[in-house]
Amino acid sequence: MKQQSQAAPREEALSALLDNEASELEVRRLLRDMTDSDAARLGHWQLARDVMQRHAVAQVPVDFSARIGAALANEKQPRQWALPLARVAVAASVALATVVGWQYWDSSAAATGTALASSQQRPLSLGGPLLLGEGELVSRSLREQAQPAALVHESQRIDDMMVRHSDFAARHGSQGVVPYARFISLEAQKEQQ
Amino acid sequence: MRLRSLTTVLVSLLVQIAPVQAQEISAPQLLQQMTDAARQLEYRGRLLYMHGSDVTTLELLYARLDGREHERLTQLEGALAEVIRRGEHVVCVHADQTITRLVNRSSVTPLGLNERLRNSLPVQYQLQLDGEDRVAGRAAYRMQVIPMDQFRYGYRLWADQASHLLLKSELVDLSGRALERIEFVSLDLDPGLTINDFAVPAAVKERALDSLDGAENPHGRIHVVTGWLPQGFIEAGRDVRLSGGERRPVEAATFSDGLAAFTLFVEEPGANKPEGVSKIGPTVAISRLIGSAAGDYLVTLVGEVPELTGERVLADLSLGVSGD
Repeated sequence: MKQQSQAAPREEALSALLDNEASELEVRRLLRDMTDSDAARLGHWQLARDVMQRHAVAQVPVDFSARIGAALANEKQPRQWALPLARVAVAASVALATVVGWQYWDSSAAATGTALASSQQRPLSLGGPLLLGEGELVSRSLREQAQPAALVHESQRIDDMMVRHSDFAARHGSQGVVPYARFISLEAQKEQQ
Repeated sequence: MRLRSLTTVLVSLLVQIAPVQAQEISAPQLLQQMTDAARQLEYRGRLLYMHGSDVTTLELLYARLDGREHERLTQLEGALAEVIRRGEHVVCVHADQTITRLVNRSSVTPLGLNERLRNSLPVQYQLQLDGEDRVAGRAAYRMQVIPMDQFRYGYRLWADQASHLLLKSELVDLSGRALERIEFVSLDLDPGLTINDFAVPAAVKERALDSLDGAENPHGRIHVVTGWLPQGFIEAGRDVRLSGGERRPVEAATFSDGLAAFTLFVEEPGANKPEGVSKIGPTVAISRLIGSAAGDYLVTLVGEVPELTGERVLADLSLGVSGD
């Protein structure tokens, strides 16, 4: 509990940094004092943010920043960086690759095993609504351990799966028109590439 | 004097009606009314569809014509992509002007919830009214669909107070952040639609996802055997289609808890079919090689579930071989 109350202002400051809400002074102070664990934490949050703000973003392990330039150079049209995040991302060595389309991170069997093991250690609380995304953190740690594979653009194979899944989801998932919207959106992205 | 008394009557009526309406509505009732409204009304509206910072504008048309439901969802910017549903026939028009035909035997309610949800929500979710808001310039009730465990996403729903039509829907992750949002920005509840509004455009070619009988499918004897499923998930459907550039049979089985769904695809492994994890908006795709008595197969899970859920399902999955 004590730890939490001490950590809270730090987390708030980091969160503000990520949200681009920190003042210049705070930004400088945070970047100056940034520890590895802070950087890792920012990375975690940014992964979450990626999913939120940029669809089709392959989550990039923290140590991947050196390779990111090459990866982006291989892209026909590198997407712009998340502008509010860019300076922080660079400073924190947390690179953000934004490649539209289906893309695979080859997560090794070992990484999968670890993530699953840690998920099983956690008691499942089915008694009430969960407020914190602990499961998400587990899956993010999986990504961190994953080895970045070559950027593989999945084409028609995954598209067909998406169409079929959307069709199934529309019939059985009770999500109404949303599965179709997903499909259409996927089509739109393909066109942009 | 006459004017004044009329005003008095109107004001007192409003005062009387407004609180009564507000008290009457309950979350389950609203869910039911939303489902009914989506199927009984006729409408044309513009929608924003977002995952994260990416936004697509869509137009949605819905009408009952000749006793059949007609629905058309069209991408408004960039290349034309759309889904047209006439009764049970669904046509997906792709950006490259090819089309895929699907048959949808059960009725889908646009932006709505299936009939089975009309009266109750799966027990894995909790339904809550969450105040009032405005969407597309219209007064709306806000509702939350809260998952009771971490294996599925939740929803926030906005229903029109006047028509009860669902105006906005968000898919939210476990920390309450929206992974996906679809909302009306304009809505016409009296658009006067005709059959011509649902005409299928001429296609360059059809991209068939041909159905196959199990008997015709050389791999039909391979089937997924799930070890672990999130509570409440049951198999909702299964089929075999020829798909991909190689036109190979790919078997699919969909599992749903009534709201969320994921599909497991089983196919022969190949050089261009890596194992791995991919995410697009709220949809995750995870591919794993799974061994069976008849050799290794690539199983891909595609669905709107947390990655953890997908990983656990695949970790406990095995492949059965039948008919040997």
